[in-house]
Amino acid sequence: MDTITREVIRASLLAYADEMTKNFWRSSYGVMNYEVRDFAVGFVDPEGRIVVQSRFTHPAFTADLGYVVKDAVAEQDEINPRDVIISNDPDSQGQHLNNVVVILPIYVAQELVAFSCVRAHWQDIGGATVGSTGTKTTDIFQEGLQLKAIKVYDRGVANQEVLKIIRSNSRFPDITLGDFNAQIAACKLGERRLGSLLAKYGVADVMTAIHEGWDMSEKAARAALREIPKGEYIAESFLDNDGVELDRPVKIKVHVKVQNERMIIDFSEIADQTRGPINSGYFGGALNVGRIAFKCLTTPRLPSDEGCFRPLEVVCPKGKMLNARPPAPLGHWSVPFPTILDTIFKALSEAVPHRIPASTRGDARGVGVSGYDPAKRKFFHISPPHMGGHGARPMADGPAPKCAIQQGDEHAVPIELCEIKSPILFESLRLRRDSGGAGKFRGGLGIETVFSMEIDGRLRNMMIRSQCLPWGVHGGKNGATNEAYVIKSEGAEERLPRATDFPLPKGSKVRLKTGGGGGYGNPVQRDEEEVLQDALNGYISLRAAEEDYGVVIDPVRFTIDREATRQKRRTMTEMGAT
Amino acid sequence: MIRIATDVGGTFTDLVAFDEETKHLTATKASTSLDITGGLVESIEKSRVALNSVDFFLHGSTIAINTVIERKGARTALLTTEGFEDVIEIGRGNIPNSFDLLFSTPEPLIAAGLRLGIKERVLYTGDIRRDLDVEDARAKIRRLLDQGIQTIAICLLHSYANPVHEIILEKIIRELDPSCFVSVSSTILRQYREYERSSTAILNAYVGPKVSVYLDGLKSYLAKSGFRGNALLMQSNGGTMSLHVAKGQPCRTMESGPVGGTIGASQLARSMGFENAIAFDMGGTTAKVSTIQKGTVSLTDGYTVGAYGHGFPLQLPVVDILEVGSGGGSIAHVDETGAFKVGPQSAGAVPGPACYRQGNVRPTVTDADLVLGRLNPSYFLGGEIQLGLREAEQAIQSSLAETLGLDLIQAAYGIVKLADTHMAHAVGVMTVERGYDPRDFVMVAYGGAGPCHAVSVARELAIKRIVIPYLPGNFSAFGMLFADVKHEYVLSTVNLLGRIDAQELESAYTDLERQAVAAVQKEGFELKDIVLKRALEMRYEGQEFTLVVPFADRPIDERAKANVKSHFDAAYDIRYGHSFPASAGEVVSLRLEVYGLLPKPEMNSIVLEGGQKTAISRSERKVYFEGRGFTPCPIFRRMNLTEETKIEGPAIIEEPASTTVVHPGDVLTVDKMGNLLIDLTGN
Repeated sequence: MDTITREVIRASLLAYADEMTKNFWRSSYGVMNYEVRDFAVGFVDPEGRIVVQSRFTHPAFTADLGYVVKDAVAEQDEINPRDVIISNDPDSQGQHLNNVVVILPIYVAQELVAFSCVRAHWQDIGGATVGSTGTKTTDIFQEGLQLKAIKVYDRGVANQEVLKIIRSNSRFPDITLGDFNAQIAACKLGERRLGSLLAKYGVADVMTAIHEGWDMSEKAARAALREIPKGEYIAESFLDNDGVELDRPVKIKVHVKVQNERMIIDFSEIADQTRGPINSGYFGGALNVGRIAFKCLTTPRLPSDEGCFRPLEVVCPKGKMLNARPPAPLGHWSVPFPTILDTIFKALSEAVPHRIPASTRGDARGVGVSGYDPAKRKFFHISPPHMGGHGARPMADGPAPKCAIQQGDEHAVPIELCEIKSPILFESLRLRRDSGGAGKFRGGLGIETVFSMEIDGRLRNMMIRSQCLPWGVHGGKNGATNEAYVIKSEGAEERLPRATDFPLPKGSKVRLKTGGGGGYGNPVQRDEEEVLQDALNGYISLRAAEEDYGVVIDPVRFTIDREATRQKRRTMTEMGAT
Repeated sequence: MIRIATDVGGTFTDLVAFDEETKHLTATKASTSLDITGGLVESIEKSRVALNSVDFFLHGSTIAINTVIERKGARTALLTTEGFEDVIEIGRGNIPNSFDLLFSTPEPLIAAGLRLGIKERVLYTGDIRRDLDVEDARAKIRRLLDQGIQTIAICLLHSYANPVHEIILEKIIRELDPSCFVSVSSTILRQYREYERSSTAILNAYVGPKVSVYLDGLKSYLAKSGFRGNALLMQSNGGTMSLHVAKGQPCRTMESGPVGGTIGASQLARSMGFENAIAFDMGGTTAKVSTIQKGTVSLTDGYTVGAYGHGFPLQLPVVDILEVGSGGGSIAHVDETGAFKVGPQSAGAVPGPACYRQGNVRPTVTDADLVLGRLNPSYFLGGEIQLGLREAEQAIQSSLAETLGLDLIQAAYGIVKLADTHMAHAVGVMTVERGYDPRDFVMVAYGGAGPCHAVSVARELAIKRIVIPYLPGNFSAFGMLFADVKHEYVLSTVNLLGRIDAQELESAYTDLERQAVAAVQKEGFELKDIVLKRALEMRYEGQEFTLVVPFADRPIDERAKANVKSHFDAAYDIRYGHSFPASAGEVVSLRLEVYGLLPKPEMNSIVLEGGQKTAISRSERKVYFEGRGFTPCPIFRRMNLTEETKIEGPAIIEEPASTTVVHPGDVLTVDKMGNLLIDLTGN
């Protein structure tokens, strides 16, 4: 079709998906939706292919809506206009049960043309723990209510019985149903908008534009793959544990095969599915995390559609943690993603050194505090800020502390809001000195925060990467790791384990330190003045300046001792060479 | 009474003057010079208005925003609660470009060494947990002053709830050095979210000294020229303020330029009897869309100075303007997928479109307009620039048409169509997305390129009528003539509406009003010219995002509380397509706007510049229209059009600063104010 009409149609589709997102986001009830932005919005064709996803979709849901829709459609005897189907089917979706997709069919005359979809994170869907996602579940049934392809509205008529089941299976029924209603409203908005586009241009032209758009995205991805040298690249790392078997590290090993305009991400050697809840299904896990990595490497600026991923094949045998067999627990399905992404990128860091940063801190979460506030007669649950370090870049230092790549535009909750919403008091929120891996370019810093309890509460430590350090690349040093402590008294601190319900009586103090990013290149090659500047800014200590970078700084005048520095750096270079 | 408005933009300084006695409306344009006042002086001299006869001098300037973007502000220090010195460097932790592995973050405006922790702690209730250590604070401040620091921002945790410690710190600084520029977060805004509030206080400090020098220069120029009237500065919120207030809170002038256009559109729509208007401003680099609902300019809370992800949040009410990368200079190109795209990269004014022949060879929207016959190559900017048709054709042919397999005209038309689509989506975002039907709006189109593209954008949204104001190229300055003095007050107080005592609410508003009235009186207003507008920022219990609803009933009682809840339900329903009247409403903040009303120019008629009431002279050239191809099209000079004019499209109306395209079948008329009205057929 003509290139102009096609671009007009494609721009419109994306604008509508974005509009749906904003509508849902701003009218949502759960903190996971309005603050964490844990949702995916888009149009899917009747065969389960992604027409387009909104640009504001959480990156952890990179084009993974199609499979759950396809399954939901197959489960239905018939689909009619104004039906509303929901699904959180762990098998086809492969994610925790909190992720519920609302699916609305779009018809032109009698023809089913597409589905308007909004996946959102429901605050609580039953199960063993508040919020449904504990760190210690061992099967999916402990994680809440399963809703496999349920028709909640039949030709526009609500099935009140199903709504009652949902209401009585959530600890926060108002928030949950508030989010559900907002999802339906956004889907209907998508139906209206896409409907008007279809009326204006006709089904055939819109479909042609979609298919040609996929071909174009595919072409762009193939072109990007040509820039990566062919070969098979392997990397390995590990996570602390699965939350249940606490002394068994979880192996993350990936093979990335770059062939002629094709990439295969092979998870055959990743850990088997675990007893604890860090598993995922193939579509939500292996394929999804593979797609996130692939998108970063090939078409970072394009909106996600089916075509972007055509040159990608993801291999993961059944029974692996990213393709777990039911009834595996999936509560923390995406928690391993930062480390898996780091590892995929690490595999490629020799092949395309100018495009791959050093490791991130490898975690997407920090600690959560919850309890019951008798003064307000309300439960509280809060996640203090837990952004952390990103790796040094090939030509620049790591950025300021940020959330994980898969969390995208997620905003940390402000300190003032944390204190308004929950009985905790912050003592500090600071950049964590010396946490960034040393290098010619320094890894980004983590943060260090201290808070205390004004009443009794409980702590959940969700951090999963404290032993495998955020690695440096090309001679760069490792960053500091993720850790949390209870401060017993001045100087006596107890390291907190990965735990769901650690008691925090009134007055307890907690210190959370997030990891830094790895360094890039040999620290001896870092510009002396930049080392001095880092020391002046408090990013590094004088000791680190000397020991890691070989720059000796006068502690009183804060000037570089040139002679001592020359000697120190020479010694370090010689030692490095041997 | 003579009023004069000047709008200093990046490229041009625009002036509009209106003499109420003679009904003369004058406009001039000058190039913005490096020292800024240069362009201003030139524009005033060109206008031949004697400043000693001027009663009101209104002014908008990009000085504040440019200071931030070019990072040429003052060396600033921050005083904050001990333990939270790094908040402004840590930010909110979000990654705007999710899939970009090499994303970067901006350097904070204040380096770590100049961020000092103060020993104190206030709670969100306003209670003091730790008293301010005055001696320690004094020592720290003295050390800063000794280092030569002349600009200090203060932002303490929860100061929105109780500003007492911030006030003490300010006092200490003033005692030690009265000339130091101090920016206190709680006097600018009293809203929670420490990062955004700190950033606002810092931006204010950072631009403060530079804006002060600028305003002093302006003041002495005005004094030297014998000006004895009232000088006012345009604010981002659509109001004005005195130069004196602007010196203390320069961050409020950050978006002062584009806002003038919105005010102008609001005024124009009102005078023509329209309640709802879309202000559509298409310039060289971007197109800007804002709206007027029921006579009120739509505002939003907070925005980013600089690009999202690379700039700094400024948490103040601002006219809600959506900017998209479609301007006359926007570059058309083929992207990595082989798709045809327009913008957001722009050739700007320098080197400008290919047809400017100043070195850019990539095709732009203006090049396409020229190739399609819409622009007159020898009457661009009134003939100041001779456009090169051959250069435009060549740019489109070689970098687009050949790659895409299109002929020249198809490619040129594609550029226009895609740019129009983006702008139509922007208008959609500002109307449809917010629950408003664009068919209920009139579109006011201005800026150099606005009148050329307005019809196709409007048609996309079924808008029925377009107004092309008199002097579309100086419209932002024109709008400033109608602005009132305006300040707003925000007081965070999170509580369920049902739990708030009506009398306490009333007395909280009364306190704010007392402050507000006193401030405006100080700017020279009498009580009869002061208007107060209360509003409440609300949400449903459990939600995060809020809507601001007017709260007019007074004194506040239980019935008033029920009323405001139902207003909120209704606003929510418009915005999101559903509402929850049974759910509890939560108050997030009290809002108060205070206006100092200025006499408006009486513009029921004006003497049009050059308005010879002679027969319409016309020429003709071939212009391309969708579905028709090149069509013979009459060309008119705008200055020849009169109130009796009625033209059926196709037609082109030329004037020095702009070109209006009337599509086939649409009807153009002219009102006595010299505005062009286009009625769209089929809409």
